[in-house]
Parts: sequence; C-alpha cells; structure tokens
Amino acid sequence: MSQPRIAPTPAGTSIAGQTVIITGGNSGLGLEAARQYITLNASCVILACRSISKGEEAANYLSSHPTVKSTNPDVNIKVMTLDLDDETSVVNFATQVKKELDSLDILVLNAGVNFMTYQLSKSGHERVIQVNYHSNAVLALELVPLLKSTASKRGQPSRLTFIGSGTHKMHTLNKTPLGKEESVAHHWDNKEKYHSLQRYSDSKLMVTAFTEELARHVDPSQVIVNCVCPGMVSTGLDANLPIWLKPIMWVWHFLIDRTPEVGARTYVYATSVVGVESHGKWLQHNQIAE
Amino acid sequence: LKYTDIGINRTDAIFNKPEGKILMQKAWVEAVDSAKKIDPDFNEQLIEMD
Repeated sequence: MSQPRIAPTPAGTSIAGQTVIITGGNSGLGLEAARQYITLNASCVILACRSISKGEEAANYLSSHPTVKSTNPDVNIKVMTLDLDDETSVVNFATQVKKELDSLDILVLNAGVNFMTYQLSKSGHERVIQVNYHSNAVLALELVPLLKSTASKRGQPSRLTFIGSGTHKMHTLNKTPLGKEESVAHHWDNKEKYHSLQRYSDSKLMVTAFTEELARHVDPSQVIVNCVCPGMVSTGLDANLPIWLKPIMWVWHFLIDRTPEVGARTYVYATSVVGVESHGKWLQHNQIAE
Repeated sequence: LKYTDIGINRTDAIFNKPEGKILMQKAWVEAVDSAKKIDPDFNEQLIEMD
C-alpha cells in the first residue's frame, strides 16, 4: 500500500526574481512549499496567514533554515494577515497586495480546514466551504488582474494554483443534488444537506469546479490556472476529526503518507514545472489527471 | 439534476456532464457577485481574456 513516487523537482528549475504568495504559508505543506520556492531563488515570498505572530515564527524558521542560507539568503520573506473565514479580510488582503506589490508571479491557494460539525463562518456561510472554496474563489478573482499585469511585464504566464484533493470523488452531490433553481451557496449552507464526513470532499469538488471555470475566462498565455492534489501528507489537517476516526487515520497515514517535503514538490510542479497543458486541469501525482 | 456518475476518476468527464457545467456556471456567477458585493472596485472585465 503506497502512493506513487514524486520525483524531485528537476535540477535547473528556477523562479529567480519572482514573487510568490502562499496562503497558510506558516505551517505544514504551505511552509515547506515556501522553503522550496525560496531555494528555487524566489526574490519575495509572502506568507498569508491568520496570525501574524505565527507567520513571523515561520518567517524566522525559513530565514534561518540551512537550505535557505546556502541558496537564497537575501530572499524577502513577508507576512501578511489573511483570514479565509471572513471575505472582508480576503478583500482587505487583496487590496494590500495590490497596493504594496508591483508584481505577483505565483499564487498558491494552500490554506484549508476540516471540521466535523456544522459551523458558520464570519461571512455567514458553512465554515469548511467558506475557507476552502468561497474565500479562495474571491481571492483568485481579486488577484488575477495583478497576475495578468505581471505576465505582460515578464513576457511569460503567471501562475495560479488551487490546492484540491482526490477526496473530491467522495462528494455528496450524488446523494443530495443541487436543485435546478438552487444557488451553490444556498445548497452548501443548508444544514439538512450537510454531511460532516464528506464536507471536506464537497469543498474540494467546488475548488476543482471553480478552477476549470476560471480557466475558461483567463488567457493561459497570461495566467496558467490549475489545481493540484498533494496526496496524503502528514500535516495537522486531521486535528478536528472525530476521536473514533483518528486511530484509523493514524494507521492510514503511517502506511502511506508522503512527507511534507515530498508533498510540497507537487505544488512546485504545478506552479513552476508543468506548462500550459495544465490550464484548467486537476493534477495528481505530478500528472494531469485522466 | 443527477450527479450519479460524478464521482468517477476523471475530472474532465465529471465536469463535461451537463450537471457539472451548470454547477460550474453557477459557481462562477456567485463568486463574481460575492466579489462585487464586498469590493465596490471589483471589475470582472479585468479577469476576462483581452
């Protein structure tokens, strides 16, 4: 029982001079991806996270990391506040980015949550759908113009990568379909249609759907939009699972998990290795999913 | 709308189905509306292909 091997990022891959934003960049896969982007020579890496103090801790960890010191000691690591539970925070973050940055080459929408009870976000939607889908969709829409203008300056496409999950195949729309006249937001906010164990899958289905739709609107010569599943990776995402499920997941993780170092390679692949053929596509195991 | 076959292991096939297309189109319209509601300066024309 294992997952397919993920090859190291090809030697010679470089994002020299580029600016990268990673949401949830202060921990887990986001933090490791930040480290990898820095070692690929990014000039500026922005960790977008809820807690500035945790973000600063992460920035200190990165700047003192031996691989950073040996490859890119002058990298500019910034921390900015972003709370995906609140769409006003999303717009405030995007406004700050547009004000402070004159270019943005890579946007990685990594942050996500998993809760097992129905909760409302600060913006009034069911919380898992809010954080994993609604807020990421709004953030992407807000920052596409900056990604486009950067592409025009560089003469190469910028990159927008959503983090999806193969668990989207376990969504609930087959059991509880979207009504003909029903809005997507209304469907997911309806408590009667809430399935706690599958809500994460539902949120990732929406991420995959939005990736494909956004790609129809955006010229891939300006912004390549794709969605990547990092596979099963040892991170803290299971913290909110019910207690009866934790031992099962522990065994599962023990047997097949990728390390964050290997999992984050899939982000780098999606943003900096695979090309325009991935526009609008969902990637798994460093391949366009078929 | 039936999503019976939506869980198969091919993303393209999922969203090439009429139900999937409706889902994506609704998601797009609602996301654009959300952005407009919170950000009065949001201009969807800046996203679309030139």
